[in-house]
This record gives sequence, structure tokens and C-alpha cells, in this order.
Amino acid sequence: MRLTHLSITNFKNYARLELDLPAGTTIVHGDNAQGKTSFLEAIFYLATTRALGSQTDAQLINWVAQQSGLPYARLWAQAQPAASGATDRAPKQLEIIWSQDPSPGGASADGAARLQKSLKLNGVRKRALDWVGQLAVVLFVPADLELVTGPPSQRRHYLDHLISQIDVKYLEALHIYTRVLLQRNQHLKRLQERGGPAESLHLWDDQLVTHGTYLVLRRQAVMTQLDELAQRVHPQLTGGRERLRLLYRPNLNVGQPVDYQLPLTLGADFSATYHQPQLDGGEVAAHFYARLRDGEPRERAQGITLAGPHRDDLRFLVDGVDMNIYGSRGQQRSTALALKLAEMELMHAQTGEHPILLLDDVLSELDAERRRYLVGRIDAHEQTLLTTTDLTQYACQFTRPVCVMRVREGIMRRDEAREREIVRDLTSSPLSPDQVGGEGLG
Amino acid sequence: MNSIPPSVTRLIDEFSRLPGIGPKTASRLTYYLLRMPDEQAKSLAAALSDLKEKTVTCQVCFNIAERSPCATCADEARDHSLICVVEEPLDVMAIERTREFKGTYHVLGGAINPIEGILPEDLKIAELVARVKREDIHEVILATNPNLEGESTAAYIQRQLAPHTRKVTRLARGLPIGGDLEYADEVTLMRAIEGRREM
Ligand SMILES: [Zn+2]
Repeated sequence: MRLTHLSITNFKNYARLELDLPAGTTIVHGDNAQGKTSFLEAIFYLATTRALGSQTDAQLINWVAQQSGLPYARLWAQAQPAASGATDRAPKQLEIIWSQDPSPGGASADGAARLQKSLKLNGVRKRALDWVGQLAVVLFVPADLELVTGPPSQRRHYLDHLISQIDVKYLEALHIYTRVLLQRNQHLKRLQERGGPAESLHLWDDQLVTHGTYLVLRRQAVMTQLDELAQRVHPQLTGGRERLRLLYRPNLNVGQPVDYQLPLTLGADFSATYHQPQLDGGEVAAHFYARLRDGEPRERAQGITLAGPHRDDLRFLVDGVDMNIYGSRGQQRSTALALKLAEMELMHAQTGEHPILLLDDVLSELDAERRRYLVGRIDAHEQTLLTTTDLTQYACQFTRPVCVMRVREGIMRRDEAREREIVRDLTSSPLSPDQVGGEGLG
Repeated sequence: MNSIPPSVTRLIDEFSRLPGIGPKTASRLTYYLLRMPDEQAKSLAAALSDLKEKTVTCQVCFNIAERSPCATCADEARDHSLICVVEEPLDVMAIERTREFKGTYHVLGGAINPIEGILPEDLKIAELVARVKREDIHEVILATNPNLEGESTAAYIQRQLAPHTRKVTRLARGLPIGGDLEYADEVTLMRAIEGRREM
């Protein structure tokens, strides 16, 4: 999949942008706060219908448009499925429009306009659920490191967003599960306040177990796949010296001992010790029901639901050592990068399309070895859009032509003069992407 | 500086409290009423005060009515062995419009929704169970909304009723998922009643 055209109106730094996008790599450079990240955000939003981080939709609208009192913003892109493999090769148009909610009560209590968002695929209005899988992207940001170093909730959200991009049923199950969980937790709180018969609490259990079990099984399947893919890519980032495992640790650990106390060092065959859990839907459901039943006194005391996939975690082990706690910064970065590269392969395996890669100033975080490997992958990839403040990082790194754009105050211009310095001298013999890693830094 | 009479701001405030009405709409409505002919405004005021003074809750089905028991509960021609359980009085009106249903109703007063502070004991569920035990009921149709809270409420009631009645049915899935009964069109609702399934 690749984008051929992007059109932005009133989104973040951009009042207006019309841009044809070539295949291969496009590098956007410029100083901070000029619109580099906004450019990637626009594409990310078109693919996932969500903003980066915790921004509200109102924060995405260009401030000039907000001041005008008529908030309106639009993203539009044309995407071209790959020439081979895809069954439906017709280009598709994706469009997202924010406008003021015209319905009565379209203003919130403080009088500010409320926004309504509409999604259109090839001009036809769609629900968010129908959007899943239309445009696959993988985003690399420096904050990916927090997937390794951060709290479990960050890893769960990451996994939820990833699976939601490839499985619409997962997205639906997640919506319902989240709502049921909220109702059940509120129910527990009200019981704490008022007392009363507790058996009514279990009226939520059927829905919680049905949808929760689906989440567990899908998470397990996807983590098994990510683990395999990451095991292949990680040695290339670390010179084959270390072995990475990405393991799913479900809260509903049916009959499994919890291996939270890992010895710091293990033999080379440690990976035989650490398995992905093999879970059966019926067993998970039965275990879930039992935990909800047995845990009731504790749940009533604490006022929250204690069992379920909302308490899952992922564990990233390098040679048996938990990267969340004991990893060096370099190991943690390699782990995060391997995870994202595995994600990219997973998307390809699941959708039959190579996802568009979006990289927001990530190169400066990496050491030379990992940088060369990543650039090699990008160089060979169908389409990559990346931003940098420092173009010289990419000097002589690419073998294929690269499009360089310069952005300043929300205006983007082609910077042909600097395109030459990005591409390695092509008079030497052409190299395969694998070989790129060994050269190019002179 | 504030030259708006208190009687005007008071009405604006009252309107603002209604669902779906923001401060702008509330002001518009208030100034519209100000320009209204006297008798029309008085008729509106009378309708508003009658609404609370001349209505009661039926002590059998808990629908809003002019007296208790209500006209439906007192109607000998209706099938009193059949109870249709709904969330709100407006749902009764929606089902009555189909002219398909000849039984009686039971209005719960909402669905189980702890987020909104509504637990089972806040609804007329115990009253329903008592009614089923007391009367000779052949079938209870659960017509709560087809969303998460409505489905969970139906499942809960079904368990409460199981020891006491022969047949509990649920409206068929002809209804739009996540929708409200109140907004279902008559044909859809009629099919949903015809196609109800046993729970
Ligand atoms: Zn009645």
C-alpha cells in the first residue's frame, strides 16, 4: 500500500497542504514546531482514526480555524494498493472531516462548539468499525521505548491498537468489554456505598467472560506471531549476540505458574523454558468465571474487578532478563525497535499489504549499527515517510532515490538540492538491502 | 450591568437543565415564549402543571397514567396472562402503536446501569417477580433495549423469574443493535414481537 496524494485543511500546523507522494522514501526536514510531526499525525489519523497521545479532536484543528468560530478540518488521501497480491487494486480515497455539530445542544456547557467527525471511504460515509484495515501504517516514535520501560497499561494499549487495526471483531469485543468492565466496577463501588445483595454483581459476568475470552485468545495468537517475527529481526540489530522473546502474560493464567521471579542469568537454551501460554477458549472462560466467583469478597473490599484481560501484561526478555526492569538503555531500544519491525511484518502477513512506515525523528536515538540496519530496511520498503531535524544523519545512506521536503511554518517545499547528498554514489555496484548495513558510514 | 429580569434568567436556567438543550437553545426558547400570545403561554403553563398534578404511577404496571390501575391494566379485553417488560413509558407507546400486542405491560423505570447509579433494586424488578408469583402469568416478554445495559437487565430478570414462570421470551433481533426501542419503526417492532425467542 502506498499513498499517492495527501490533502490537509486546518489540521494542526497546516492551514492547507496539497502533496503528491512518491513511492519509496520521503524525508521531511525542518526545525522543531514547524509541522514535521503534524504531517505524520495526519497520515496516522487517516489510518487509525485516532490522534497520537492523549489529544482531543479539538486540539487537532488548526488554531486559526478555531479562532474563526467556524471549526472545520479535513484530511484526504488517495492510496494505491500494491500492484501484486492485492485482490482489489483500485485506488481508494480516504477522507475525514471535522465540523461543528449542528444538532440542538451542539454547544457544550461553556458555549464552545462541539465537533462532529465523519469518515468517508471513496465518498461513502462509514462507521469507525468499517475503517479497520483500510490503510495500514506502522509508526516509529522515540517514545516507543516506553513500551519496554513503561507500565503494563502502555503495553496493553499498544497491543489493543495493533490488533484493532487488523481485526474488526477484536475492536468490537474491546469496546463491549471496556463498557461492561466499567459497569461492573461502578456496580462494585455502589455496593460498597450502599451494601446490599452482592449476587446482582454477577449479571455482568456473562458478557465480561464472553468478550474477555476473545481478547485473551487473540492477544495470545498475535503475541505468538510477534515473538517469532521479533526473534528473526532482533539478531540483526544486535549482531546475533542476544536472544529476544516477547511473551504474553495473561492475568487469566490458566494452570500456569507465574514466572515473575526470573533468575538474572540463564543458559543459552533459556527460551525452551519460556513458552507462550497455550490457551483454550473453554478453559479460559471457565477459569474466568471461577476467578470472578472466588474473588468476590476481595473485589467488594477493593471496589474493582480483579480478574480479566484488563490486567494482562507482556514480558520482553533478552537472554532471559526482563527488559522492563533490568535492561540497559541500548538493549531496551533494540527491543522496542525489534517489536516495531515485527509489527510491520505482522501487518504484512495479516493484510497482504506492506504497511506505510512513519518515522518521527527516531534515528538520533539509535547507535550506528541499529541506524544502518533500520535505514537499510527503509531503503528497501514500498513507502516510508520520515521526519528529521538533522538531514545529515541520512547522508549517503540510501541506494534508491529519495524525495526530500523542507517544512517551515506549515508550508512544505521540495528540497531537490539536498536529495543528492542522501543517496549513495550509485556508480559503485548496486547493493542488496542486507549489505547496506555494512557500508555507508564513512 | 445585568439588565435581564430574574424571571427570564430563571426560565433559561430551567430549560438548560433539560436533556439535549444547551444555553443557546434555552435562551432562544425563552425569548420565543416571551413573544407568544398570552393565552397560548397560559395553556402551556397549565399543561406543565397538570403533567405533575394529574398523573399517577399505576401500582400494577408502573406506567404513567391518570389513575391507578391504569386503563390498560383495567381493560378486561386484554390478555392478563401476558406481560411485556419495558424500560420506559415511551416504550409502551411505541409498542401500542404497532397494535400487535394485546397483553399488559410492566415498566421497569430504566435499565440496570451502575454508571448512572441504577442498580437492580432501583428498578421495579422485585415488583415484577411478585406480580408473576401473584397472578397467573403464562408468558413474560422482555422488551428492554437491545444495548449492553438492556441485554444485561433482560438476562438478570430472566434468572429472577425462572423459578416462577413457564415462559420468558426476548424480543427478536430485528431491532437495531445498540438502538432504543422508542425510535424503532412500527414494522420492525411488530416483527420483533412476532419473532420473540425463548430465553
Ligand atoms: Zn397499569
